[in-house]
Amino acid sequence: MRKILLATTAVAAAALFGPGVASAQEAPTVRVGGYFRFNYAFVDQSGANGVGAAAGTSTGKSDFASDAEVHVIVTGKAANGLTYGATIEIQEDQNRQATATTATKTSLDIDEQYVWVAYPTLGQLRMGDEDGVVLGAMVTGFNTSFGTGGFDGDVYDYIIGANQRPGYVAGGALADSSKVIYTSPQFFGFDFGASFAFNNGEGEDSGCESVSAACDRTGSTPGGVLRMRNERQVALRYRGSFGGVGVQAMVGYVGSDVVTNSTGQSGKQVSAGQAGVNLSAYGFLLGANYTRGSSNGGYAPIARSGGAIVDDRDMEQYTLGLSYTWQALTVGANGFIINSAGNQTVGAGRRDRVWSVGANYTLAPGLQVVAEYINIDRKEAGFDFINGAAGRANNNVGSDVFLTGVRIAF
Amino acid sequence: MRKILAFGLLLPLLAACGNSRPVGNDEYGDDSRRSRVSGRLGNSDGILIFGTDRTTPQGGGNQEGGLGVNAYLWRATLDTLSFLPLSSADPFGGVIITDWYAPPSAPDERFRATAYILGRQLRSDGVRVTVFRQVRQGGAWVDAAAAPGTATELENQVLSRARELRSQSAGR
Repeated sequence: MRKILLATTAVAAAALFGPGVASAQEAPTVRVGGYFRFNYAFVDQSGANGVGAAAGTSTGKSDFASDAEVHVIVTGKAANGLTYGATIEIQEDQNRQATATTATKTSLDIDEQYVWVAYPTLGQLRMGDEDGVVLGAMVTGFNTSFGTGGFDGDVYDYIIGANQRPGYVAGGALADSSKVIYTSPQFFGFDFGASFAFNNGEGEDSGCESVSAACDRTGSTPGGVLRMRNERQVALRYRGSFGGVGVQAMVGYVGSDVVTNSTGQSGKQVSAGQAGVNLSAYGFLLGANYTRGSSNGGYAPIARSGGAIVDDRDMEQYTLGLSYTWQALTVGANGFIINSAGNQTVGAGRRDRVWSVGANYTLAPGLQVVAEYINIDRKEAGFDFINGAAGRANNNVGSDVFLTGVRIAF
Repeated sequence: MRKILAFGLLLPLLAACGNSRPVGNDEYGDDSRRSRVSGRLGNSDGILIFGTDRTTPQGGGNQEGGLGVNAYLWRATLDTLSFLPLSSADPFGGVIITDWYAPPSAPDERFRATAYILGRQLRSDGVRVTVFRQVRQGGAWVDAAAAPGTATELENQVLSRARELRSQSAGR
């Protein structure tokens, strides 16, 4: 009996501690996925009327806008258990500068592109233009599962003026700089990762034809540039369930040097910690994230105090989101508050606050209708958000946006 | 350099000794707008241009992504029984049958398992595992009793894994 017990226990132990997956060679597959959305937006925003050279120009409150993505996804598995693949994501983006009469408003560019190899006991190595581990692979605490994503959704496609759009931290907020990313297997619910990029350039070349401050590889230049160099990220994530409550928690760090000033004081290194948690139970999903460190909003590098620079305080961001899914319907709310230096030539700090409520309804798998309301509020005493300079007017601006639309994915 | 080497050796050691498993690409964050849409048209993740479709059985198209039974229990059962060689798996009927497996520590004994996924709901009674045991006597394998707790332990392991998969998918 004892022998039977030993042997049968060995079977159960093998299930518990044995190889994670059975290995069988799989021929590579190539898939093409896609996304399209069409939104109507009603926008009531500060700065909707022109100033300076554009004085007398005003903008309407309603607009239709469409967007699309095409993804090419390659995966395969070798007989030794090695899995591999590549992903190329083509998107419509970065066309804000284009005018309504030019075709470039619908031109395509590459969002992310990377190749990866993974081995069950060693983890995954991913190389290419990607977000990294903190705001990419292991991002945690940003609940964007309703509407178009609330504070991190489509709203900024409809807001005119860079000073009306806050810089913030969320999934994908860092540039998809060309980098190397390592992520580990999961041990007792934990996995970890690290990533590194030499600079924040992406794509195939150096970003310049002749040596200049604009080159991706520029290390120092007179006056310096507040641009990331040697971007490094580390993250530790835990996933598990306790009494029917799903838990995902992550702590991470983002750091970088900046392009140094060869003739004077350089900007501060970016150095920011982050903690996030997702809790899911009974259809509810709660996400919370706290980010704090040396940078401006959205991990933008910051100049040191001295001369005209009078404010180099740390940034901190509180993010919260709650959603509820019942059958095909998901409703939710999310938002963030960021305290940061903002414009560094004025002494007061900046406070950005965005909140939203919204819903989406799945008509069929991959086909959804969405609706949401977003409120944006920006405040910095002594900074004129409309004119983009120090001033006593327009120190508090904001936007109210309602949008609804349909989106489809395959 | 030594630290890097030590770290490189630590990983397989942890993987061999600990409760480890590989992390799939679908468990990592994805900031694309496409990833925010739940489900995919036709229940297939993209249009297959080249290769063999391994994600959607022919005739698929139900709410379980082509499976006739609960997807979490199905995946969890496959994961749990992956240490045994697979003989057959029917995703519509929810039946997984393994081949015989002799643990290296007890080569004169071998086991096989049959698992039934009983429905579309993620329930604690949604999976049944039966374990068969044989011992070698005089060069021939003869049937023998398996410890009654083995099947239950495997079922518990399946349910734990299914819960883990459920919480992971809900947390993303």
